[in-house]
Amino acid sequence: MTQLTQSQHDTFKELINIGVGRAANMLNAMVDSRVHLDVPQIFTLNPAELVMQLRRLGGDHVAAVRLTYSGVFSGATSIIFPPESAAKLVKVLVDDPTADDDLNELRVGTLTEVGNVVINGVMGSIANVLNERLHYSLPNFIDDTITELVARNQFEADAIIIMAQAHFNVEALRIDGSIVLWFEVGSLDTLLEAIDALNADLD
Amino acid sequence: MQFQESEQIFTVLDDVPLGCFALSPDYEVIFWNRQLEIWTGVSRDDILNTPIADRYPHLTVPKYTTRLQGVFEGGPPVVFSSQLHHHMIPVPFDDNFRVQHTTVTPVSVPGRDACNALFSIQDVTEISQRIKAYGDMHDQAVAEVQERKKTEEKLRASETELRAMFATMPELILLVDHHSTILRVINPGDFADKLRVEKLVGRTPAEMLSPDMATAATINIQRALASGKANEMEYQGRLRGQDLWLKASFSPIDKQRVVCVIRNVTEDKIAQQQATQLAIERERAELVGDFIQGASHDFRTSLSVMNTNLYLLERSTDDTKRAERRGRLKNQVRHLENLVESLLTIYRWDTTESKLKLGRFQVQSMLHNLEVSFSNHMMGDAVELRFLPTDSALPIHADEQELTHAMRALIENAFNFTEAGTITVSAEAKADELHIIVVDTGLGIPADEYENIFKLFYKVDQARTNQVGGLGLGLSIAQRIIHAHSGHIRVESTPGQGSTFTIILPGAAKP
Repeated sequence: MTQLTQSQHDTFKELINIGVGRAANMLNAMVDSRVHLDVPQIFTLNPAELVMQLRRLGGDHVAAVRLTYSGVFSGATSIIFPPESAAKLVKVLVDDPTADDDLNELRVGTLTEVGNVVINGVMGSIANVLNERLHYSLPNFIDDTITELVARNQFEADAIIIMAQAHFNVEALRIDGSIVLWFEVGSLDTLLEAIDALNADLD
Repeated sequence: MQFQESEQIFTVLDDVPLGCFALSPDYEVIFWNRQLEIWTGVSRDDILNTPIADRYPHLTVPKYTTRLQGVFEGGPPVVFSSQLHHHMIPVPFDDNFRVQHTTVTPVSVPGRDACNALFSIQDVTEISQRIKAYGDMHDQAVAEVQERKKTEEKLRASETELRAMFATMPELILLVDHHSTILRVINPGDFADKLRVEKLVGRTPAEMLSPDMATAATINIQRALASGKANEMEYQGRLRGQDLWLKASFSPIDKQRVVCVIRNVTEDKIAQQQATQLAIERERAELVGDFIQGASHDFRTSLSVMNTNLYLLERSTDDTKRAERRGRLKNQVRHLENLVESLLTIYRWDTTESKLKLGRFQVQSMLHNLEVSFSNHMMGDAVELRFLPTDSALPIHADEQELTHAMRALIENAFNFTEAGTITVSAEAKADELHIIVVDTGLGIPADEYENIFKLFYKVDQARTNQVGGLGLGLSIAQRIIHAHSGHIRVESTPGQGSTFTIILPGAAKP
């Protein structure tokens, strides 16, 4: 199992921060509410730890937007919310005063776009480092249990998953979501090499 | 050139149920599918190879371009959802535009770094409307539920207030149905410690009250239901060996149910009885006071006369005058004897059960004895006492001695108030009543004095009495005697012309 050095960890955090920052700017251009997005922590986890960490969001059910990619570098990036938080986020973004918190089809569309903006921001950062074009799937909305969601990725038991905890602050409403990056065997090494090369350049 | 290239790649998209178009990195339209032609009325031929900004300038604002940039660079697809963007290409619908969900994907061009962007537009108008309708319905339902909750809360609050208010009320408040069955105890009132109020529900008056009270309660409940109006009643009964007075009101609240408000008025009743008793005793004390005052006055008057005569007797040497003084002294002694006798008689009538010695005798013989007795008295010549002939066969059932006493009192009273003329005594049967009548031609009595003349020691106007001899007790005694015979004395009088006293004895003349 690959372990991240402190320097790799820091670079990762910075890349994700840059991506999330760009995403926040885009969201602010799209909606009337002021959206603040930050990434306070980055974890490297194995699949079992990921399940445990996700359960801390509250409940066993999650709403997620997932993007898979392949090429020189393969994997998936997901943004994951507890369903009620997801509905609240959508409602405040589109200024919807209705009382129900169901994730209907329109809200799913909106959440998919929000996830799309955040994931694209993060993936843009990473793709920049790799300087390689990847093939991306369409962003996919998933409403499922945490266990099933994690199982979709068909992880090796010792796979390394990078998880960033993101906070959405919209009009005094704080909504926590998790951005989960998973890379296929070998892909992370490719990325870490690229990161090391970047760090070497900077040095 | 560009068009032909694109046409080959994209023409398959003419047959999908999506609006599809493609832009080159410099925002020129390189494909426009059939669905979009139908939606917009803009033909592919017209729009191809023109800048998209010519017809849809909004697509070149930063909100879109910053995100589309990634697509042109071969980055991940971009989504423009319907709630955040409403539509990508305006397609009129009713008063608005069709709602669209758009996905933009990069399409690489061989031999070129930059990608084209393929827009796939899904029409979500109908689903938006359905979701909105559902949302409105949901909100309305939620609003209704909240409204109901508020109403329920208000009701609960007012019920709590009512309960608190009831808790201070002493009344037992019951809700009963048309069978008089207790449905609910609304308030136990003062009865909480006397009755097991929780066990009242389901019971009827017949199971709890005496038959009389139960019947009365049932009738009142039925009456309230039938009339639609409230009614009231009072019950007297006993509970655990003690008197109990209840006041109950029955108010119908609909055709089936009545609210009974039951109040324990025992204490009020006892207080009321005590007050009545107190008033009677006060009146009795006043009467005794008046009696003592009247009797003392009469005794003192006689004693004073006796003293004076005794003084003069002792000093007089004239035999004639001495004889006169002795006569007066004797008169006063007789007067005092009469007074004492009368007082004892009254005491007897007032304190002991009347024990009349009833017997059958002829009225004629009683009147004859009276005539004889009065002829022995010293009467002034100015007043004639006449006894009219009476039916010899007029029998009477009474106490002869007492009735004679009463007659004597009436005749003496007539003498006292008659200076001149006649006093006529007669008797007659009227239906089964016996009337004995004493008519005088005396001073008469004002109508407002009729009642007073029967009071102890009452003297109409001292100045108007014929003689000093009046005790003011005779009529009182006569009335007591006649009342004991279940009869009464009727007074008729014309002041200045005389009075008629009629003793009326019902049933006394029955054979």
